[in-house]
Order: sequence, then C-alpha cells, then structure tokens
Amino acid sequence: MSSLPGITVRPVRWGDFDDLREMYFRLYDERAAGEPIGITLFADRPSLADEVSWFEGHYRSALAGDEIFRVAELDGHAVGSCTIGRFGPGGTSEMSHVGELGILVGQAHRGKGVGTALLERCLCEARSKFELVYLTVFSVNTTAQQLYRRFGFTVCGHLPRVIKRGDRYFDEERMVLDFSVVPVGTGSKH
Amino acid sequence: MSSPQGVTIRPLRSEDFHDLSRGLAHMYDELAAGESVWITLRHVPPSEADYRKWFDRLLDGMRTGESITNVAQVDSRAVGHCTIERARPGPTTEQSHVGELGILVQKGHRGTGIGARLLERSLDEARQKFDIVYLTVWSKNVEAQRLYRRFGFTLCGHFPHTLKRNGQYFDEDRMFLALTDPPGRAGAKR
Repeated sequence: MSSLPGITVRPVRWGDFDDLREMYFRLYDERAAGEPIGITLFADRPSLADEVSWFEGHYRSALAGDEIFRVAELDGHAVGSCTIGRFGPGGTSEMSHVGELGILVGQAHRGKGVGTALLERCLCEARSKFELVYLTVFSVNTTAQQLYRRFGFTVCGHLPRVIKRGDRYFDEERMVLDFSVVPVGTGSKH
Repeated sequence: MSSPQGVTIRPLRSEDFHDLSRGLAHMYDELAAGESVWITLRHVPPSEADYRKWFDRLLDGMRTGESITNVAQVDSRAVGHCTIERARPGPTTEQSHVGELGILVQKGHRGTGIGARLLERSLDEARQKFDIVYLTVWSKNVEAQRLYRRFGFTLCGHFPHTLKRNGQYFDEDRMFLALTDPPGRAGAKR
C-alpha cells in the first residue's frame, strides 16, 4: 500500500501536543457514539493535566532514546502517532530487548495509509533498538491485524474478555514480530 | 491438596517488608548460584528504595482496594506472598475488571503446598473484586503451570523470546481464569 501523498513521518515535537491530545480525546466521543474503536480507554475522559503528564513522560523517554515516538504529519498537523517503548520496569531487565508498540490514527485519516507509513518508519528504527516487538489489538479490529500481518507480525495469544466497555466484553489478540526471523520488510504487498 | 503444617495465610502487613524484600533479593543469589529462577529479574538488582517502593504499593493497594496481597507465614516469618492487582492501576479503565496475579514462594518452602494455599485464599478474595484473573508464567516453569491449571487457569498465549538471560532466550505463557460467567450465561452450571 502506498501512503497518502503529503504525509511525512517524523520524530514527535513538543508542539504536537495539541493535535495528539485532540485526536485522543475524540476517541471518547467516538466511543460514546458507539464507534468500534480498538483502543483501551479510561472509564472517563482524562483531564488535560493527565494528558500533559502522559505526553511529557513519552516525550522524555523519546528524548532519552528509550522509546521510539513518531508522528505522521499532514498539512502541518499530526494526524497519527506511533510509539515503541521498552518492556518491563524502570531500569533494564531481562525484558529490555522487547519493544511494545502502540499506534493511533485520527478518525478522519484512517484507511489512507497513515498507519502503514508510521509502521514502516518506526519498525525500521526499532530494528536497531529491540530484538522483538509485541503489540495488543482488539480481536474485532481485523483491519489493523491485517496491516500488522503484512509487516510480519503473527498472533501469539488470544486474550478473552480483557476489555469491558459498558457491560460488553471484548477480546484482544497479542501479536509479535521477531526481527531475527522476519527479514527487512516494508509492509508492501508482494 | 496437601495442607502444610504450621502455615498461616494472612493479609500483608507493614512488618513483612524485611522478609519479602529479602526473599526477592535472594532470587538474584539463586540465579548466581546456577539455580532455576522463574521470575523476571533486572540487570542491576533493585535497591532498598526500589523494594520499599514496590512494597509500599502493595500495602497501599490493600488500603485502597487496588490489590489483594496474602502472605504465607511459617514460624513468624513471611515465606511467600501472592498479589492480585488491578490491571493498569489508577483511574478506572476498560481493564479495571481484570486482576493480574503474581506469586512467589521462597526457597526452602517450595513444593510444600504453600503456593496452593496462597492461591486458594487470594482467588477466593478476588471474586469480590475482579471478573477475570490473568497471569504470566515462564514456559519452562511447568510445575507452576500445573498448579495454575489445577485452579482452573487456561492457557491463552505463548509469547516467544520475551526473556533474555545470559544470552539465552526464554518464552512466557499467558493464562487466565474467569471468575464470573460470561454475559448471557449467568448462573449457568458447568
């Protein structure tokens, strides 16, 4: 899949905060509207202060080189973000060779290759930092799983009822990409 | 189930800090002595302050209801503990119905049925708090997995190479135990 013309994937900047915050807060409206969003949310929308703390934490880790944090920019705005952070507790542990991936694309920009562009760039960078990358995805979100599979991810777990939205349970899939097994890929269709 | 003599299972108390932190610290000595250690360790052993932070979180969890920790006491010494902690502590999320289980029985007391006693009590209490309990176990730790299965845990994931110890890779298994019937099956007999 070729990504949308005009999309740039670049390291996050402090100035991206408002775009990312708005994108994240909108997920709560999407959930309220019954949209099938595949990201685990808080019961109530966090405060602005909570979001500043979240962003600051990830921004600091990215500056320290502990985490990959990139955004997809379109027309001067961040329309998607991808983080790959180090597994495990503070300091390094027997899990520090593993990265955990999280990705979010704004509602208006889904299905345009923004996710592909982000994954391509971030996974390429992750190769020099991690030996494996894990992620969790809603089982019903087959579109995302298809995308991950194209990059070489395989399912390694099916976690029943780990999400409870209202009184409904959702399952999650755990997926893994092992860089020692999967050759350099771009996610393009063969 | 064997019932070990002279073992008391009781809630965590502040005076357990010394025994439990020593017990964890001892895992680093066991590994150095070439023994099988099936918990994930840091590259640099935790400091006294790290242990204090960990312990205070458990103690705090007892007060706030975020977690349950039971201790196995033998001859006035804490020789094991089991914690079931709300997934993603903090404000309520869509995963707050999930408990994450961790258990450790100290050397010299393993294989005596203490783990089973700890699990029995902790899972019983977890029923008031969580819909489902998850845990992660080293794939090589088949004895622990057998114990978990005896309590009804089911395998739901196999995570390759999540651990790296002395240049060697180890896998982890993810297991879950549903404490409530799925929706629509309330009261159903199994």
